[in-house]
Amino acid sequence: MTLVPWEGNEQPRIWETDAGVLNSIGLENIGVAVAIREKAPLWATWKVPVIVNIAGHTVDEYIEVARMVDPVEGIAAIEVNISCPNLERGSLEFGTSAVTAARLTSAVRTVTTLPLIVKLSPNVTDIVEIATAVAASGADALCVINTLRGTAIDVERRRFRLGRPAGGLSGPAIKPVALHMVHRVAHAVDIPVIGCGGICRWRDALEFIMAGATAVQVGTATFTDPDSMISIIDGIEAYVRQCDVADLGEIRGIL
Amino acid sequence: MYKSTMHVLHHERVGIDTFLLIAGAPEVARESRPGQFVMVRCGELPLRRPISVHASSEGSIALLYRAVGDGTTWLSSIEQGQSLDITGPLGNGYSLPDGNGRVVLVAGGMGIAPLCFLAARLAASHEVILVHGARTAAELYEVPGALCEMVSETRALRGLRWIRATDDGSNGACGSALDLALPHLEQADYAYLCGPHGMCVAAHDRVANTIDITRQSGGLYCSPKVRELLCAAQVSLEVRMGCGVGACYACSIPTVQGRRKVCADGPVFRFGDVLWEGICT
Repeated sequence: MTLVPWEGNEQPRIWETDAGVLNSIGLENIGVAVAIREKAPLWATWKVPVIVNIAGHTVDEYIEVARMVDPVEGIAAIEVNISCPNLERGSLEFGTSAVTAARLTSAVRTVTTLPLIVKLSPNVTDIVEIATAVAASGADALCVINTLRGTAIDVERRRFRLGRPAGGLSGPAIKPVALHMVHRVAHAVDIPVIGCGGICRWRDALEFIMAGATAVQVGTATFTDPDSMISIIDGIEAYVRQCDVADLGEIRGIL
Repeated sequence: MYKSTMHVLHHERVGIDTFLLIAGAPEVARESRPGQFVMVRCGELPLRRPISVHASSEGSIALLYRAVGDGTTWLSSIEQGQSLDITGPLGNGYSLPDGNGRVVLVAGGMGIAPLCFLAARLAASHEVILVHGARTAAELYEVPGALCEMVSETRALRGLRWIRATDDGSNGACGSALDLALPHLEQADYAYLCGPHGMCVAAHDRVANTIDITRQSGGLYCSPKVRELLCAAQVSLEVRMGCGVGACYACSIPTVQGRRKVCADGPVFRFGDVLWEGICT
């Protein structure tokens, strides 16, 4: 969510690729004030913790959003989005430099005591450099990775498939890239890493855990199958029983 | 909304690349209303495909779709006896008109699919005129026998007044569904539209009166009565969707009330509320 409502990007906003999905949503959202007023009371009744993803064009916007959500009942943690590829300014700009990523993390840290997760971009030269800088600036956890920048073209109409030249690629197509980055980051920082990128099945989730992830996120797979997260949890449970794993910590980061 | 397995009872090609699929899905069939859609999982493709409900009764739903891309081409290969993973019914559906009166349904191309469901449901209570336009004769729709046999409500479709038009004049009148519908809209109490973006933009041009005034004699004039009727008409939209349930914002469109999601707030909108110039396909 952002300080004021965002309209998002022009249509078309989504295009399916081989084993993946390109999106150009542009963080359309109702804004932090309306979300707190109209959505958070419902979240407070849920049995699961709700993590809000925040974004902005400037450091001050991130700070203000974090300050507003900090005391709200029903919000368990903040994920700072410094990696959205679909904005003309803000977000990804903060995530492509270790200096700006660290500065933003420190600034948000000063206004909230909620667990602070920073979601990193794969569209960088060295994700480890940024991860270590963010970890040293007060982040409680890292989320690795956001979407990869990508393009698709309609050769008949000679146009981009999305309303903009580029969007963010998610889904199974990016899993090996995400797994590699999780592996590198998890071994370089002392804070938990949330693995993300193309996880569809329980085996995918276990790969990320063995690569060093403490938790995983599932996005695109829920479009394919709304029950995918339940299947992943059930599959992990069956695996640990079958393989006599008493705690996922036994297999976390073993590679 | 249900996530269910539907069993294919009948699947036939009814046009060049158009298919009719009838499947047993009792919960979805019971709850489906005209204008709603289902999301169909197509093999291992990441995105489900939104397909409007064409007919529904006796525990079965019918889907009428055109095989145009990877998903619908995969779907067209499914055979009777196989199962499909669907979620639905989704979306708001059409509001049914009050009382009785004359209803004109304007369908362009595959827009006939949801409007047949509506027409069948209104047949007993309203005077229904169904105007269907297509590019060429082979793309016009004749209600298949299997549909009438397996989904009894659709039998009423054959008793309705159909007006058919083709862009190339190969069957019915030469022209667009909208052109042919105009004189009937003059006498109508309610109007419903579903068709390609171009048809909606053409209707919008009339409503907004942005057409060249000098072309009035060419049949492009739109009377105040028709303009008012079109503004209040219910239109079903098709844009590329992600989740189908309002979570991802991929299908968000601009309206006079602000951004709205076609999957969850629509797919049916008041025609005059949609900011057509802000929608590209």
